[in-house]
Amino acid sequence: MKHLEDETSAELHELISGLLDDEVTAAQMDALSQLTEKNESAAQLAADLISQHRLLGVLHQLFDESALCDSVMQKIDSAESQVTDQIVATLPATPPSSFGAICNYVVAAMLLVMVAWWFSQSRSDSSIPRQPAAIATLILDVACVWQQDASFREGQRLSPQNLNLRSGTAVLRFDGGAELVMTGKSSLELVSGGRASLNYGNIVVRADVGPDGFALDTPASPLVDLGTEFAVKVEQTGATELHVLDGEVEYRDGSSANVLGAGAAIRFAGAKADAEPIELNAERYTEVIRRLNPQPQRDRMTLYEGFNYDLEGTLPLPMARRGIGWSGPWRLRTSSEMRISRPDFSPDQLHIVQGEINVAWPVPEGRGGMLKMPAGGAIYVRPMKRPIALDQAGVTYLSMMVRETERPQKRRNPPERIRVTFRSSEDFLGESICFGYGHQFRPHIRIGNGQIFASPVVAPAEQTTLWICKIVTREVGEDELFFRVYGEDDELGYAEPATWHAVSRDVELSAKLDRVLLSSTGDIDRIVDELRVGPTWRSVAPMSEKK
Amino acid sequence: MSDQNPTLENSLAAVQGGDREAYRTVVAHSLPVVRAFVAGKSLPGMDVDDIVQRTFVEAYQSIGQYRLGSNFRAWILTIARYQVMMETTRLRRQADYLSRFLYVTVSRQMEKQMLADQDEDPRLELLKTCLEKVPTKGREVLRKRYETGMSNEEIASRLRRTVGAIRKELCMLRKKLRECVQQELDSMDHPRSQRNPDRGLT
Repeated sequence: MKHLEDETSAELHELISGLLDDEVTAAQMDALSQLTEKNESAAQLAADLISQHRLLGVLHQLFDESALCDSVMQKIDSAESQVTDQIVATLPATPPSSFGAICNYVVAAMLLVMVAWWFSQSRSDSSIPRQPAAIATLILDVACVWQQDASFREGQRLSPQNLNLRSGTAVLRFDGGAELVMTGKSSLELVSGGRASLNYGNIVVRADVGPDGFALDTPASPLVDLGTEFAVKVEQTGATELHVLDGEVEYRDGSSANVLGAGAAIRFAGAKADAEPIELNAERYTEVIRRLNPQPQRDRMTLYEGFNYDLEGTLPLPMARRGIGWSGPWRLRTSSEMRISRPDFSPDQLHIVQGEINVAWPVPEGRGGMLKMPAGGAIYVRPMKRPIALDQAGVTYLSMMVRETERPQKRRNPPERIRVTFRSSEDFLGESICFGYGHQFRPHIRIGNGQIFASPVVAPAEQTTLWICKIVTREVGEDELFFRVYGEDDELGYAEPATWHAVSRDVELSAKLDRVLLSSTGDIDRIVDELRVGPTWRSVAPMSEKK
Repeated sequence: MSDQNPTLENSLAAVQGGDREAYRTVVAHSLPVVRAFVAGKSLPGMDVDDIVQRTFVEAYQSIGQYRLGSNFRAWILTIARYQVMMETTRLRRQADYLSRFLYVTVSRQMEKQMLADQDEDPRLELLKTCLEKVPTKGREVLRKRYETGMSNEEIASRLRRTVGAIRKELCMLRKKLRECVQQELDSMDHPRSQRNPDRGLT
């Protein structure tokens, strides 16, 4: 391990100290990056100082042990009562006779008493289904036909399971960072965010991110990427080919571990055969994607408002009824839709403007009309024809363009805020999902119960931004929400991004969200345009069409 | 290190028998160790107390798997490590996380260390001891930075010093504290001292 010179060490201490105090410039960040990449001692020193910074925070900040104990006990209580509810819900709603009713109540009481014991024993044979955690995402589906009538949606989060593809091409992104293309008849077992097992078929893996190598088990050998791109072909007989397209791959040949470099390929004639060199013959990941040429799916949009009202000026709300997928025009909130009953500050018309947004992405419609949310604030509601059912498995994407006319430096009251929120007509003030940013201009996801998942990054200032949000719903288990804000210089890929600005955790919702709210508060004007909702990334993201 | 405390074992037996309230004793007993472990392993941007809470809830839900009389501390720290790793995976999916907080190499280093450290992390206690050796003036700067979360500019204005002087002092204090903790680890012959790559830095 390379040791640090005194001079380097001093520079490193200064840079890291600056980083910990949020004072580093972009150039200093680059210098720090170079230092830590070149030298493991430097990375170690940085890791130590960052840990120490965290520990100093823990030592200096007030900590209430009994409050944390209480909070743990409350969490346990609440988890137990959820299980109780699930058990009670499985009992018949209308018992056939009074004797039956008594029996049910006795059974319910016994079950309630058993819940605590059930938890403490962590029973694995529970009848309450528990959803295993998702480890990958199906990011692209090109004419996929799955075996045994299985069906997967583009954008769907995948838990550990077998994927048996009959035909077509599927692109998966593992949570560990690796991306994998499956083509034609293939059988792949998803094991974890950094591991899979190929039973047969053709795949290409690109794994250039993540601290650990992506591991792929094959009948002939386990393969571990060492920062690389490789293709694997496994025949039904177990014969296996490995083609290294970039970097290196570790494999086993009998009992010895070997490394195969870029440009080389080997074949195992069977599961127990030795490796023989062969000619490299595999397409690169980017070539596969280019050949697939993923196209936008605008026809799959389920909800659209482009504010193309052929005018410049005010539009009475009852006339604001264009777009796709709506069951009524834009309107103000009713008194029952407000937490505090008071006169609405929103203008009772839409202010349509032209050409006030810089459309940096391929959105031809985005150059037409757009909605100005005026200084002083406005909140508008519009009913959707098809709700987002949070109690059913599904994937929903939303995109919207937003421009703030200026970025105030000081905190103001009312806060500078822009949001898009989904609510339910059945319980308007109940469960909801909101994407937006507040006074710190950090993108955040907000759930009806007040839970907020905020980004550490500030949204790009005084420019048009493109918001893309993803809602993954499940019948049972955790729902997942994602939010990313693109600046004018950011390019959109053919599939959803690997990283998002805000990601939810431990959210379980069940409402049917059928109302969209657009809200803007504070002292600055904001322009909103091209609100799109659809089932895939490609149905809402303004991707360019490549012929 | 074994953790065979009769009170703790009795409480664990009671929890396994269905006495939920007994778990409060288990939490109170193990909280300092778990919190120190999580704080030392967590990456910037993580909420330490949230992970600690998850660890205890997860441990309660799996308490049937704990073998009475074995090492509860090691058992719960394994759960804590897993919780930190899950949070790391979640954070890695947040855009610009690494570029904002730390670099890939540093993140890798911290994850490697986390996987290697199988037992409790003594650094919080050692740091507490080392802090006592810091002169009053330096402790005041650290207190303002870490207790009240002041920026260097705010500290300079409060203490009527220049921002540059505060910046330099914080840098020196961090360096000295790290050296002090390393010396203590060396004297304990702790595995972390073996791994220290730049021992002897001035």
